[in-house]
Amino acid sequence: MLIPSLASDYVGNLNDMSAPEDDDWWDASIELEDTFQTALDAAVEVMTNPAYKQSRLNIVNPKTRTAFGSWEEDEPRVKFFSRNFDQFLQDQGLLEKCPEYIFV
Amino acid sequence: MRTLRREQLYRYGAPEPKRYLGCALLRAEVFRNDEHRGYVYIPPQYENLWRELVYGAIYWEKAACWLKGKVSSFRRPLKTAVETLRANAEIKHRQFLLCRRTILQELQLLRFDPNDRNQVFTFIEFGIRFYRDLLNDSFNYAYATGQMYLALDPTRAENLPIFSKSMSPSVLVHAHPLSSK
Repeated sequence: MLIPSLASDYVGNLNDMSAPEDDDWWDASIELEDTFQTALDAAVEVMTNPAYKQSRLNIVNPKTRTAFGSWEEDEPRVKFFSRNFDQFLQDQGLLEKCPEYIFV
Repeated sequence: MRTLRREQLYRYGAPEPKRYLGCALLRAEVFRNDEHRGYVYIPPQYENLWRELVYGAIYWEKAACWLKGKVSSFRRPLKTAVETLRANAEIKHRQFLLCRRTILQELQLLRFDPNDRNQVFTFIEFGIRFYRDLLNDSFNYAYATGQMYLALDPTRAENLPIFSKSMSPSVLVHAHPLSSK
């Protein structure tokens, strides 16, 4: 799981990564250290909480079998920009008048 | 990953309203290594999604960099947890770059038509996945866990609270579906 998805009660922090309403961040000069520190504290707390020992959020050290260890996110292959979504829209009758380029 | 490395060099300015080819569009300045390289034109209904797309790339790039600097300040086993978070942040950053590149490719192919909504379906898919927190999941998973949301228009503000609700057909009464026009 990614940081915002670590636990259902942690999803609220998704708001922290929504774009600010002002336009001061487009040049990437925005300071986010406080946000990251809060996220890190919460994430580590979740990942090391014994309550998650039996859940998929748990990380297990493969050598010591202790509560922490190698817990890797699958490498994303980002297949979702595929024909699946186009096919779904077509099945729903939403692509009838759309130009051909979306299938290129 | 060579293409992604190139992608990281690009920054985008705040979009501004502009008429182009007879269409009311948004125009964002493109920078490469802080040098002006041109403009990208975006149908106005995607303004919020464009903001989230560009901001997400910046956010996760900074997060990965920040976490990388934090790893050494922890000792195991917490160090392992922080290393995992750093790896996840880098993956998320890559996802946003891939999303951005894919959407830009479709934008470049868009034949702007003043009489059309100029739909960009990769943008729509990004929006649905972004608001449903499905950026890291396969289409099959997204379909299985919320088929109804895949047909909602993420460019409509009225739909955004629905995306964040738990799955219930009753909440869709007030939803605005996607349309081809």
